[in-house]
Amino acid sequence: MEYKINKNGGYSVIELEGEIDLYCSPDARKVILKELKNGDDMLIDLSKVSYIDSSGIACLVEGYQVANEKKVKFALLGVSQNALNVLKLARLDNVFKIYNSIDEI
Amino acid sequence: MSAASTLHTLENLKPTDLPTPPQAEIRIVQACSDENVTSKELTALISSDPVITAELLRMVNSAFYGLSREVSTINHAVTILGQRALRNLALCLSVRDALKDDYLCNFNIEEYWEDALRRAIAARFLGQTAKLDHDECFTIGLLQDFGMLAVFHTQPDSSNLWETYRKLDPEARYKKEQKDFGVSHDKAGLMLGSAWELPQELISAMAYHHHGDYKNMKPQDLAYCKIALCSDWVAAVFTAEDKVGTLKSCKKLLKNIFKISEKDCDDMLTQVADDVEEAAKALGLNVPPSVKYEDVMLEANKHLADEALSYQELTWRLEKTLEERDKISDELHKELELAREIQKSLLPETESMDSCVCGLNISAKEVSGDFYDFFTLDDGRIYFNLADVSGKGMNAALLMVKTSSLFHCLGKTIDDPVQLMNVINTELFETSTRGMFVTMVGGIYTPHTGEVTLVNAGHQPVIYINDNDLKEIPAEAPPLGILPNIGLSACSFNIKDGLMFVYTDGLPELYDKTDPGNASHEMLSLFKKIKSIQRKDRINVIKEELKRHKKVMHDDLTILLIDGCKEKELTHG
Repeated sequence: MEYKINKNGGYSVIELEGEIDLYCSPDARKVILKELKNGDDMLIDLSKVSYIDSSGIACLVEGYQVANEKKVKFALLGVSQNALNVLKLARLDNVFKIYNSIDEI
Repeated sequence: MSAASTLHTLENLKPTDLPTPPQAEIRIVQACSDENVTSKELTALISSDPVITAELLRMVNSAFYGLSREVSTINHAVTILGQRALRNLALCLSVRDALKDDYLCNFNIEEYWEDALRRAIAARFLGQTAKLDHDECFTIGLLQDFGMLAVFHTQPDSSNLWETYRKLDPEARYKKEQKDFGVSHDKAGLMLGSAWELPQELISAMAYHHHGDYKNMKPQDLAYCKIALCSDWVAAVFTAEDKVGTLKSCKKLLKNIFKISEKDCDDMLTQVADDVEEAAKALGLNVPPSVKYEDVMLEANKHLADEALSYQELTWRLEKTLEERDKISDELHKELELAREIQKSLLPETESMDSCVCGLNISAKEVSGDFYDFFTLDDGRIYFNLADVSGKGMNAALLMVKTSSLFHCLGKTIDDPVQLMNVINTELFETSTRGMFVTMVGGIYTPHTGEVTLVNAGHQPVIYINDNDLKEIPAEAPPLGILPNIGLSACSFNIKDGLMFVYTDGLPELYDKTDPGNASHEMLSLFKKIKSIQRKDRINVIKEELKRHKKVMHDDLTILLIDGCKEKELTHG
């Protein structure tokens, strides 16, 4: 898994790339929680995620829960079809705010 | 100190600034080198200086020189030894005398001579091996590092560096000289040899025994350079701090250049050590008490022994650590086995395969994050559930145990699946860590009517198959543990003429990893096959299917079957 962090319009945008599975999700978790400490609103760009399992989803859930506690925005951006299938299957598309692009926000 | 200033000083060094040999000795050296000087003239020249005559005769008759009979006159010496040998003897005397009277302050001249003699003796041995004039080689060995004195002469305050240089091997010393002074002793030797008007072959050996244009060098000069190089390493064996490394390099060099075996090398080193005292006596030089090669070997072996001991200790510690690791691994494995047993005990008895509800749980690791459960209520209805905790391993397993226990315990008092799962959701949400969640299908099956009421919280679709129809019941709410209120709702339908499959994503991932929600054609074919066979054979068919996909099975896999048909109504299998 690779990641990039950009700042865009007051958002901290974390772009995750590749497979987010049991082995990579601790890294994804670390990155998300570290960025949340800055107090910026957060977007997780999943457009380049080819696979995500339940441990990867748990990272997003934890990010979502921490963001709620901190009262900062937390949303998913450009979710790839594979990741979207998993999110929809678990009805998590009703939990996370999902945007196709940053212009939609 | 500045390298540039040293170089400048060296370049501007006048012959008169260098160690000056007595003129009488130099005249003898020059006469010996002149082919036009006859033996008679040479004898007359040497005999005119009684001190030099006495010294030369003493040297010639010394034990070190090893002549079989005594030489009593210079005339006799010239006849027996020849002009070249006499020239070398005179050179040795001139060098010795040039360094008298504390030429360099704070410089241990006795140690310098000791090293020079070791080089000279080694060069003589190597000269014999290479079938060269061994007296000439001795002189080369004695003179080859004379340039070092000129280098220290330019920087008298640096004389204390001498002790450091002695502890290094020749290559390291050469680099340090260049770093400290900006020049090395061979370049200084070239200047010194030229200033003294020494024979060309000696200047060549002094100047190029470390580096030189060997391709364009006369073969004999090249041979002298090689002898000087090897002699340097031989002498360094006795002084270098790293005895093991220097000895190893020395032996390698002698083997490569002169094909000298390790044993012959040891013999030579022994002889060099033994001859220093005799040679010093012959030349009238004072040297420190001799160091035996045995002592050098003893020190080297001690280092080797220390290293061997360290290696043994390291091996021993590694073995101990591996033992410790294996012990911890065994203990951990036992703990995991125990956890696995406890987990398995939470699952319903699998012997009841003939019943209308049966299930299977296969974990990818020792412990599982999946679970299923079913139990019969007092009124004959069957409470069932199947769930999947996010992630894998021990943390998932612990949450699985908690959720399973909550369901099993609360299910006996809360007979509404929506209410039950709401309670579980609240409990999980309040204690959630690391974003962990549980997808769950929970419900109640009434066998005598075939009625099923189920709730799907973020889980894989439930599949119901009968002879004519296939029904998918997808999740209507997110998984448990994420939000305080997830809006659970129940779905009711009748399965009296079919079979219902509840499974975790491990099953569809066998067929399509990227989209486990896609109930693939293969998976549906498996379900149809299962429906067509007797209940008792169904679990075995699933196991066979898993074996077939063993290589791609990365996730826990759990499946629960609820059969609405009466066993006697089955027409197949």
